[in-house]
Formats: sequence, C-alpha cells, structure tokens
Amino acid sequence: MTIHQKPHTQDNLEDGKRQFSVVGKSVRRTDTFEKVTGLGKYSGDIELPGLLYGKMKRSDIAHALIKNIDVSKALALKGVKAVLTHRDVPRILHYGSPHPRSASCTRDQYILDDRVRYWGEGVAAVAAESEEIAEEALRLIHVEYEPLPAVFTVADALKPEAPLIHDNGLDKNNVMPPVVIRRGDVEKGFAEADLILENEYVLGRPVPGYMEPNVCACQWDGNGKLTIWSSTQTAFMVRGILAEVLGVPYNKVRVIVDHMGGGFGAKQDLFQHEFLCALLARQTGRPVRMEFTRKETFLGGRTRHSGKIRLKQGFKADGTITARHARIVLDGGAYGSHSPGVTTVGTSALTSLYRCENVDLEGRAIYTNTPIAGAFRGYGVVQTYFALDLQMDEAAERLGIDPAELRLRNAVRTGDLAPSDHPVVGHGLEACIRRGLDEVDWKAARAATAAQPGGVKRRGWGIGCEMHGSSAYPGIKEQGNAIVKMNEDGTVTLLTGTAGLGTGAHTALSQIVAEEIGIPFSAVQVVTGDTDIVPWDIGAFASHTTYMGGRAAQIAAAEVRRQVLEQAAPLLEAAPEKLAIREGIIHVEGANRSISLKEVVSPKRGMPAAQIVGVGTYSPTKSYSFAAHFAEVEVDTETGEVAVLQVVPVHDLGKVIHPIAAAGQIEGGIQQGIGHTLSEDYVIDLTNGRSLNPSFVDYKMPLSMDMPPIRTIILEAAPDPGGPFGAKGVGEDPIIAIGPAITNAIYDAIGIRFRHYPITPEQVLNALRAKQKEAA
Amino acid sequence: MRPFGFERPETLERAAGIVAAREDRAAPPPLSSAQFIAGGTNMADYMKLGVMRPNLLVDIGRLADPGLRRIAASPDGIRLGALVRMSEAEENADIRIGYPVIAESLQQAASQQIRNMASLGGNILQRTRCEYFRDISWACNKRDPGSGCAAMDGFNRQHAVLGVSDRCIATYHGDFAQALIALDASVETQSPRGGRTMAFSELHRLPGETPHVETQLMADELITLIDIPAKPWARRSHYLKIRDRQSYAFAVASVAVVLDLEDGAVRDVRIALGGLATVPWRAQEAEDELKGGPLDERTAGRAAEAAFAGAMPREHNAFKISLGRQALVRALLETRDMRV
Ligand SMILES: Cc1cc2nc3c(=O)[nH]c(=O)nc-3n(C[C@H](O)[C@H](O)[C@H](O)COP(=O)(O)OP(=O)(O)OC[C@H]3O[C@@H](n4cnc5c(N)ncnc54)[C@H](O)[C@@H]3O)c2cc1C
Ligand code: SF4
Repeated sequence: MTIHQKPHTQDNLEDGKRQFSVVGKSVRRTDTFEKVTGLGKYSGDIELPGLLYGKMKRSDIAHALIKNIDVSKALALKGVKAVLTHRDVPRILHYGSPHPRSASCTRDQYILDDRVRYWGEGVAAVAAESEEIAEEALRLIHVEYEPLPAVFTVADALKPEAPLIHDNGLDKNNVMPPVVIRRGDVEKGFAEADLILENEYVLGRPVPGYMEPNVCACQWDGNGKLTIWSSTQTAFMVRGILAEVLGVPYNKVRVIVDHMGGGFGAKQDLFQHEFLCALLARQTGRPVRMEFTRKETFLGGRTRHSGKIRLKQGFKADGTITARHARIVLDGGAYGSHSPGVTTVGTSALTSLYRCENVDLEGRAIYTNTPIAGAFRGYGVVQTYFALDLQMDEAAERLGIDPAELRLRNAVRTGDLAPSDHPVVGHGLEACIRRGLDEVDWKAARAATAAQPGGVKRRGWGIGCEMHGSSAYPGIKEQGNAIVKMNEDGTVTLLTGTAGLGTGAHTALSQIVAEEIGIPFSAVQVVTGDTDIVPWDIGAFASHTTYMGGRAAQIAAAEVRRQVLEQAAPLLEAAPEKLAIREGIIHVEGANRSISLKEVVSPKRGMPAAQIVGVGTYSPTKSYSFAAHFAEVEVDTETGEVAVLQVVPVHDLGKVIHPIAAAGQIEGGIQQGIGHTLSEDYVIDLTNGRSLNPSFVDYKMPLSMDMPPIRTIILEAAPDPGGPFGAKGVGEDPIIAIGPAITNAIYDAIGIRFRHYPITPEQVLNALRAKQKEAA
Repeated sequence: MRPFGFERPETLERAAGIVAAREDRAAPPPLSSAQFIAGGTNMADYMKLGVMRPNLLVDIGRLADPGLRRIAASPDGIRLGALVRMSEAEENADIRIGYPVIAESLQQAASQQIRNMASLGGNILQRTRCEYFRDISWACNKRDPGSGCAAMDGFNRQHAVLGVSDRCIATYHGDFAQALIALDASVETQSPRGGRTMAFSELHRLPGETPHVETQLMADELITLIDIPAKPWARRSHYLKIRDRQSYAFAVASVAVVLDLEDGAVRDVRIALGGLATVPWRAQEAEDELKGGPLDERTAGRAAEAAFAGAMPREHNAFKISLGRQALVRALLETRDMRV
C-alpha cells in the first residue's frame, strides 16, 4: 500500500492550512489488541448462567399458507423449554429495518406470519438446553402448508396473473412504488445526438458474506427490562423496533454491541431471530442465545438486488452526453427491506457522475418469492454505475475517443447538481482520474495492450469511476451525537453511539477528539455500543460514520476545549482566544507562558474538579467522495479464467483521518468487487425458489491468494466543509468502480463486451467461441 | 452435531477389530455406524452437516505403528504411510524431485491449514462435495440410497461428465488421487482378515446402481500404505488444476500427466483426469492415441478428443468438456516442455 497525501488544495475550510498532530496518522487502532489476542467479545461469546440455545425452523417451500403447525412432539422432547409459532407472538406489522417511517423501507413484515413468502423464512422457534436438542426439536415440528403459486423472477412477478406476494401494494401488483426522475428534455437530447447507444445490463445476486453470522443473546431482569447483545449496525433502531413490538418503553430495552465481525449494510435490518430470541427469553425466564449457521446467513440474510437495467444514451461527436434514459428493475425478494431506498439511491445516481442535462430515469423494485434483498455496501449504485460506466467505454470506442478522456470531458464538477440535489463541492472526480492516468501511464499501458501479439493469455487495462454520498440525506434525516467528558487528570472519555463494524471508526473518532482538543491520541478513551450509556445514533451505514459521527465528536470536543480554556484563562492571565492547546499543554500565543491541561482541570485543595462535558450533535446534509479505479487483467483464452493483475484505486476523501484504515476499506471493497464481477453469485433454483449454494465452499468469494497488488492513492482534493477537518466517507465507494474497471479491461484484452456480472470462466469461453465462429 | 462415542486405540489390529465387532460390519463403509477418523477435516465437517452420522468414531490418528507416518524412498519407488500429512508429503524433497506430480497435486489442494491436518489416507477417501449430498434436506442416492438424485436436474455445474450413472453424477473431488493413478500406484490395506494390496486404479468404484458403495474397502479395512513404483520417467510429471479461485477450491478440471519421451516421441504416458469424473479417472483412450507418436498441439488435441468421447454432460456442466480438453492439451504440452 502506498498512500499519497496531498496538502489541501482549497482553503475554504477553517482548518485549511493547519498542521495536524493526530489526524492523518495511522495510530494503533483501539481494537487491535483485543482482536489479535481473542479477548474481544462478540455477541456469540456471551455466556450467561442458565443460557438456553435458540434455533429457528425455516420453511421448505417458497410460498404457502400455514394450515397447521404441530409442536407437541418438539415440546415433549427432554431439554426443550419453549416453542413459538405465529400463534404465540405479537402480530404487529413492522419495517424490519432501522429507519422506521423513512422513505427507505417498507412496512411489510411480521415476526412470524401464518404465510411464508420465501424458501427459508422462519416459521417457528425453539429454546432448549443445548444446540443439539434445539436442532432435534426443529425436526419434530410438523408444518402443514397449503402451497400458493410462486414467482421467482421479476418477469414472472410482473405478469398480470402473478400471485400477489403482499396485499399492501399500491396497485394490487408486486411492484413497489417506482422512483421517477426527469430533468430537461430527453427527446430533444436524443435528436441532437450523433451516436445513440442502448443496452441491457444484467446484475447478479451477490451476498455480503460477513465473517460473523447474525447472532444475539437476550436476558430479561426482574424489573421486566431486556438486555440484548446483538451483532447489529443500528443498536438504537433495534431498541426502538423491539420496544414497540414487545410493548415496553424504550428505557426497558438495552442493546449492547461490543465487537462486530462485519455487516456491510445488511445488518441494518432487524432479523426474525432478534424478536424471537427476546420472546423466548421472556417466556422461559432464562437467557437465550440464537446464532445463524453459515447457511442461515444465506437463507435468512440479505442479498444485493439483482436485476436488469436498460440504458440508452445520446452522445455528440465530441463526447458530450445529450440524453440519458434508463429503466431499472430490481428484484427485491420476498420483503421490501431496503428496496425503496436502494431503488432511489441507485436511480438518482444516474443523474450525475457524468454530466447530462436531459435525463429520464425510472427505477422499480419488484417482490418475488426469493430471499430478501436489502442494504449492501454500494446501495443500488454498484448496479447503476456498472451499466453507466460500461456504456461509457463502448461510447468512447464508437466515438474514437480514449475512454479515460471521454470520462474526463464529462466528469461531474464543482457546482453541478449532485444526485441529492446539492451542488457538488470540488473537482474530486477529475483529480482522481488525472492522478490515476499518471500513475499507470495510461496511454502507454493501453498502447501496449493494443499492440500485444495474439496468444493464449491476453492482457487489458480498464477504468471505472464513481461518486458516492457520505450520508443517506435526503432520503433519511440522519443524526450523530457524541459526548466528550474531561477527566480530572486531563484525559478524556468519548461516548459515541456509532457502531464498530470492524472498520476502525472508533479509532478515527478518537483521533478527531484528540486533534480538536490538542491532546495526544493516548489521552482519549472511547466508550461505545451500549444504548443505556452512549448518546443516540442512527447507526453505522451510508458511509457516514466518520463524516457524521466524527463531526459530532469534533463539535463535542471543541466545546470541551472552550470550557478548558475558559478555566485556564484566569490562571494564565490571558483571554481564552489567546490560548492554544498542544500536546496537552496550554500556551499563551505569542507569550512564553503555559500550563498543563491536567493542572487546569484537576481538583485543587478544597476545590473539586469542575464538570467539563461537551455534547456534539450533527445532522449532515450531503457530501460526495469520488474515485477512479484502474485495473489490469489477464484473460486465459483456453480456460476462460480472468486474473486481475493489479489495481490502482485513486480516491478523494477530502481529508484522511487514519490512512491505513482508509486504505483497508479500499482494499476490502476491491476484494468484494472482484468477487461480484468474476465469481460471486447466490443461485436460486428457479423452479422452487430454493437456495443452491448457501455455503462458502460453493459461493465463491475471492481469498487472499486471489488478490492482486493494489496501489492505493488517497487524495485530499475536495475537502467537505461539513466533515470533520474536511473528511468525507470511504466505506462504500471502493466497491463501485472496480466492477466496470475489470469488465472494461476484459474488453481491452479480448474484444468482448460483457454486460452482466459475474463474468464466469465458462461464459468467457462460450463468448470466445462464438466470436471465433463469427469471424470464420 | 449429534452425540457419538469415541475410541482411540493404539494398534491397527485393535482399530480394525472395534469395527469388525459391530453388528453392521458388512455395511458399505460410508454407511457403517462406526467410522475411522484421521485428520478429521472431511469427517468432522460432514458430521456437523449431518451427512455422516456415526455412533462411534475410531480415531486412527494416534496409532503407534511408525510405518503409517513414514515417507520411505528407495530404488524400488516410494512408500507413503496412510497417516502422512498432506503438507509433509508436498514438502518432501524425494517427492518434489522424483514425483513432481504428487507435490503439485497436494500443493494446489484445499488450504495450508487443511493440509497441515489432513492425512493422505483420508485424502484418498474423502467424499464428494456435491452440494446436494452435503445438504441433508435434498434427495441423494449416495447419502440415502434409493432417495433419488437432486443434482440430475439441479444446478450441476460442478458435476461429473465422465463415469456417471443415472443414479449419481457426483464428482470425485480429490487431487492427489489423479497423481496416484498416473503413477500406477497401489494401496495396501489391513483388516481382521489380513492384509491385501490392490492397484490404486481399482480402489474406487463407479457409481453405477450403488453410488453409496464408493470403494472396494470393507468397513473394518484400513488403508495403511500407498506404494508408488519406481519410474525414472516420473520426473517428467505434472499436475494442472483449474479452479474458481487460487486456494480453498476444488478442481473444475484437472489433469495429471506422467510422460516418457524419447527423441520427441512418446514412449509411454499416463493421464488422469480430476474434477470431471465420478472416480479418479484414467484417460486410457487418450494415452493410446499418443503412444509411439510425436507430442504436439495436433496430437494432444486428438488425445483430448479421445478422452472425452464418452462424456455425458448435463444442463450446467457441458463447458467442462471443452474446458477439460483444453486443460489436457495444455497439461501435455507443459509436461513435454518440462526441463528434467
Ligand atoms: C474447504 C475445503 C477445501 C478442500 N479442497 C480440497 C482440494 O482442493 N483438493 C483435495 O484433494 N482435497 C480438498 N479438500 C479435502 C481434504 O483434502 C480432505 O478433507 C482431507 O484430505 C481428508 O483427510 P483427513 O485425514 O482429514 O480425513 P478424515 O476426515 O479423517 O477422513 C476422511 C475419510 O477417510 C476415512 N479414512 C481416513 N483415513 C483412513 C484410513 N487410513 N483407512 C481407511 N479409511 C480412512 C475416514 O473414515 C473418512 O471416511 C478440501 C477440504 C475442505 C474442507
Ligand atoms: S449426484 Fe450423487 S451425490 Fe449428488 S445428489 Fe446425486 S446421488 Fe447424491
């Protein structure tokens, strides 16, 4: 990894020219020691006296009414303490997702219903003395189904005679509310075009594949208060929905999330087991833990939306885009989950990245009887930018313009309207493309691939671009909060509600606090993951944790600094504005007087220490991060294998807080993106809706041996005035541009345009053969 | 996982005797209620999935007999104890130099962690990775004889195109076995009825009508040794594996070649195919095609045609025929070009 930090190129920020002492340094992460020694506690590690083990019975039919469930045999099994079916749980319609009442989600789920809508949906739950007994009990539960006609593809779900999967649909069909965006005049735009391209892009169904399966443990105390340890990105949302559905006030639900083994967006949802575990614990009066098997993370987890995109664009001979028309159809699976949000964000993303005044975009998500599609890193944008950036490559070739040059000519610029309807800050995308072109010596690299002699292995270079918001605004009005407390020895404690998915966010927030106050990183301790203690937070998603939670922490820290300086002023006989804190020492600017922070805040004889607390609240609007990815591939024309030889990702993050953590996000995103593009696809049997590869042996994610060298370049080209020290998000960005970069590189290597993912070796072989035939 | 008994005998006789004393001793080994366990990487995995449901595990991992853990090279060939770990064999200098096809087949198998645990005997006898076999909620003749075969009309991209029957099309997924076929290896076994030796190529049985009967072994019979005859020309041997990722993945297609070249002509050749057949597969038609002639792209292509003449693809695995042919051609030419 190489990180190239550039000084700020803009001084529109208050801190534009300041020297940093903690921010921008790869300090040791706060969670490293616990992780490498195994001391870190994950929800699956929770052991409690009298713990019972919960398991869920899942349907083995995709669409049916439950006529009857006979649990008598299961209840009679020794060691079984409780069995719950739809008859035993509150029947309350809920959002199943963290943003109740927001536009992102649909309210269409029950804890357990008398109807199943996908293969693998939970129909009953058991608590028993051991996991083995619980599993045995599941086998003893007999469910009688009345099968309903089912649909497993969007095409079938859209037929007039298709069965209705939910009865809350607007028009009595399986279509969720469409997203329609129209600007300018596309008719006119197409009429002015010298070249019109229209293609269909087909999107596979990858899954997030987090290491830690979904898991929670629940315990009720004598006062009717529930404590739940859960692997969730959205602790306060879990608290809210659980309280409402269980019928208890919010202060009687305590959610604890200590360490987490990933979520990638999917763990924003509330899953059936979280409700059922709480109910089983309440019924038995004993703590209960429920953990998914790996297979269950596929069946009952959340996938990326598969689907189809029809994209039509008009171009002038000089590359100007005159019109863009897109029809996006996404498979939402059996429940809405984040479909509305994903459709909105993915569709609106097509208004930007490459400038176009005339757009006509329509996105729809469709219910089918397949596993639920939900939130997943890249949130709809992975899909739409795949289509957009592939077509850009094709247009470049047809227009005789270098593909990178075509992107530069159209790249979104300062002041342009972003998908969120906000003006874009900074030429971030242009900076990324230009830097990457230099780094890979693009002209020479492409000339070399064009000149390569025929042979079995062929190389190619490709480019892909992206921009992504560092918050979910305006879809959701988010809020981050932080409390910073000064301790009487000059150290501080940061309380934050942001979840630690494993990204290193808590470290970044601590750095921000240390920087803002002027103390060493080691003087900050961070408290996280307990809804009874930390301030409210909307959750960790939408690439906003450092941007929003970090800004809240910065605001809180600034307040602490203000109070400290107020106390120091009389001691130093100087006005507070004349004071500065560096490395925990308060100096009078321009004078040779100083005092340690500790001395200022520690108790004096006969005088207690003052209470110094800062509270920071921040509701972001929108900022965008940018990236251009450059990938080199080698295609083996005899086996169809595509090897990614190297990737050069160039990202503009505004301001990098922790370079190694930021680069880690980028490398991880690229790894996931390589999987999406070349090997990962969750396959559903289209005759019955059953999952066919729900394991890590059969669902193939790239592993360390598959990873190419990655030369990460981080730019600070377009700092955002809303972010802490100008920082923007990086969580989702890296998974978006890599797919087009690889796919375009494959074209450069073998002259075949694939318009789908994943691109498997057998498809490469088939396409090569078809091309040979055509040539002959 | 279900509860089970566990025995850790110290002698081979005792290990075999425990199984021989069971009521169902005559059952085909995979269905026996008592099972041997060596490294456990296959057995424990399949017990967790409920595919294997033994009442008793007989741990052979600590048997005292040192021959079981020895790699013994001599002018007559090389003898590998059944408990030798995959990683030990792949790192052994005699094997690397004298029988590169073995080292290459092991290096490209599974992951380093698994190879550190897994034994050669267990590797040979590992059971298929057919998705439907591994998930007990599907019909599977191999797991539950007579229940049907969900793979026939299912997602059968991974499945075999050679040696299939209308009862089972599961691929034999090991890598090492192909090297053994190509080297004319044999195995020695031990049971309460005494010892026997059989050609490795006869160990595995085609699925036919009884896919649950996978080998010639009895439930109380242990593999003790793998015997590889000296073959000076085995230095020119090679294993080519095509897989979906660079570790932790079984072969989509693989080829083991042992080649005896004289003045550019093929004096003798052994070819085995992996990832493509229901058992470790010797491609004798391809060998015959090559013997006595030159080895070039054209003759290799002809051999590849011959190797797949009897292939029977299903809906999702037809690509394996052309992929297998390409792999065979490449493996032959790469072996030809080896500098030995
Ligand atoms: C994720 C994964 C990927 C893998 N990839 C590959 C791969 O790419 N290529 C490959 O070749 N393998 C691969 N493997 C399989 C692995 O190599 C085998 O699991 C391993 O070799 C089995 O050896 P073991 O000693 O652990 O056997 P065990 O699990 O202990 O036993 C396996 C079977 O053999 C029987 N057995 C063991 N020893 C004897 C004996 N001496 N006599 C009689 N019966 C015996 C047992 O009863 C059992 O039925 C993979 C495994 C996993 C889990
Ligand atoms: S192919 Fe063989 S192992 Fe697979 S399901 Fe069919 S019978 Fe079972």
